[in-house]
Amino acid sequence: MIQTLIKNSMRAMRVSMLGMALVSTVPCTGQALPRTQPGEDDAKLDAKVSFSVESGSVGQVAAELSKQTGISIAAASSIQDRKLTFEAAGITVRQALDALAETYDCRWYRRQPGQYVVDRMLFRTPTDSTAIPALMQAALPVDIRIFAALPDLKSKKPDERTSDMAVNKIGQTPWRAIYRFRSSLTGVFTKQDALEMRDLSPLQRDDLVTWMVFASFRNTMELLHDDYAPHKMDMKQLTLHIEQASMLMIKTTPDAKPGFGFGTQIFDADGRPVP
Amino acid sequence: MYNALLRLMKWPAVVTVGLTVAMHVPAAAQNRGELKGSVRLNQPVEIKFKQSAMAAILRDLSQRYGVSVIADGVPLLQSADLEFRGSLREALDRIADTFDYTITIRKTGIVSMMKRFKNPEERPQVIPAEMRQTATDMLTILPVFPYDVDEPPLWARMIRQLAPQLTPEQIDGMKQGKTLMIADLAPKFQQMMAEIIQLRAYGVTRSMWEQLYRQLDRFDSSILRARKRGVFTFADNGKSTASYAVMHETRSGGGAVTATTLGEFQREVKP
Repeated sequence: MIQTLIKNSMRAMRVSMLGMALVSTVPCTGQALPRTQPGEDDAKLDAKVSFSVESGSVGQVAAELSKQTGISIAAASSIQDRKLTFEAAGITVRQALDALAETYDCRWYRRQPGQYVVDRMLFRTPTDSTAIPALMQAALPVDIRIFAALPDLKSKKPDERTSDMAVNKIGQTPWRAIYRFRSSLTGVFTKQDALEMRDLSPLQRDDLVTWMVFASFRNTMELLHDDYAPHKMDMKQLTLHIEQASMLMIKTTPDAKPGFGFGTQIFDADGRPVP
Repeated sequence: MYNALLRLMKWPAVVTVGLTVAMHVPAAAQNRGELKGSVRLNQPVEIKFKQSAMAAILRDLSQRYGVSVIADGVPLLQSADLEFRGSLREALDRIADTFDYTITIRKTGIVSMMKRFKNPEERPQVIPAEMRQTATDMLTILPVFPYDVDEPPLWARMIRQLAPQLTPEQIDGMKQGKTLMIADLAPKFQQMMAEIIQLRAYGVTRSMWEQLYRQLDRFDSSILRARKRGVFTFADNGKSTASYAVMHETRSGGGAVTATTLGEFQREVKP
C-alpha cells in the first residue's frame, strides 16, 4: 500500500516539478541558490543614503531606499512584513541591500534595469537526501534557527545546548501562546459562533500563528538536529525492543540513551494486540 | 659541503617567515581593530539613557558616531537605563546584552543584531506570509509522502501491521528485555522498517508543513468557528452547559476546507 501511495505522490511531484521548471529558468542544483548579483548598469546603487527606520519593516526600508534614490526597490511579500530597526549612516544602497541579505540569509536581485527586489533564497528539491536537514535549516527564518538552537549554517559550529533541550523549549513555546489565545477567545464565543481573522487583535493573530507553527514542530526539530535523519541511521545497528510491555520501539543506535528511539503501542492494557 | 649548502638554503626561509610575521602584526591589529568599512570601532563613545527603547539608543549612536545598524524584530524589553563610557564596539556589546541580542559586524562596518533568546519569554517573529513561503520551501525540499495528519500516523499503523508478523518467541523475548537486530529479520521486515523510518522522519514532517501551508494560505480570509459538541445538564442544579470546539477554518481556491481544532470551551445554555 505504501509503495503505491509513494509512487502516486512521486508522479504528482514530477508533474509539479515540471510546472516549476517551466516557469523558472534557475537551474536545479539541489542547493539553496546563491544571491543573484545585480547588473552593474545602475550607478544609483552606489549612491549614499542615510535613514532611520525604527521598529519598522523590511518593506519600509525598501520604500525608503526607493525614495532616496529614485530607483524601484521592493521587498517580496514573503519578507516585507519582517520587523526591524535599520539606522543607516551614509552607506551605499548596495551596502544596505547586502546588509539585509546577510542579516536575513536572503538575496537581492535586479528584476529589470532600475528595478530591484529583496527576496528569500530560492530552493530546489535536493538529489541527495543527506542535504535535506541543511536545506530545511536554510529555509527557516534566521531568528527561528537561533531560537531552535540549530548549528550555524556557515561555521557548522554546533550549539552548546543539546537537541533535547531545544526540542523541549520549542515544545513549550506554543503553549503559552495557546493558553493566552484561548483565554482571549472565551469571552468572544459566548456571544457569537464565528470570528473573522480581521477581527482579531495583532497579539491574537501572533499567538494563533505561533501556535500553528510550533505546535507540530517536533519532527522538524528532530530532523534538523539529525536525531532521526534516515541517512544517519545504519540498518545494521537498528534494533527492535518492547518497552513497558506494550510499546514496540525502534532504537536507532545501539548505545542510545533509554527512551531514545521511536515506536507505538502494540498491546492494550489487557495484553491484546492493538488493531 | 652539501650540509653547508643546505644550511644556507634554510636562511631565506627564516627571513621569509620573519618578514611575514612583521607584515602581519599591524594587519592583525587592524583586523581586531577596529576599523570596519568607514566605522572606527575603537573610537571612544559616551552614552547615557534613561528608560529608552533600543531603537532610540541605536538612532542616537548612529547619528553621533556614524555607525549603521540593523536590528531584527522588536525586543521584549521595551526600555532600559544605559550609562556607558568606552569604545563604540563595547557600547554595541552593552546594548546587545541589555536587550538580549547578539551582534555581528559586517565587512562594511554595518552591524547586524539578532535576538539571542536568553530570555525564555522572547519569541521569534512568526509572520503569516513568511511562514507560508517557508512551508512552500519545506515542501520543495522534503521527499514526497502522502498527507497524513491522522492519529496514529501511518508509520505507527505500519508498526502495528508488522507486529503480528513477528513470532511469539520473538515477542516474548522482547517482553523479557531482549532486543532484536533488524538486520537479522527477513528482508520483507527490513524493507518495511526502512519505509517506517522514512515515513517517521520525512512523512510526518512533510505533513506538518503541508498542514501549515493550508492554514496560512488565505489566512486573512480564514475564520474561527465554535462548533457545538453536546449539551450536558447537571442533575443537582438543573443547569445546562454546552461544549464547543473552536476550529480554525481555511478555504482553499478549490473550495476545500482545512479545519484544525484549537481547543474546547463550555458555556451555560438554557435547558
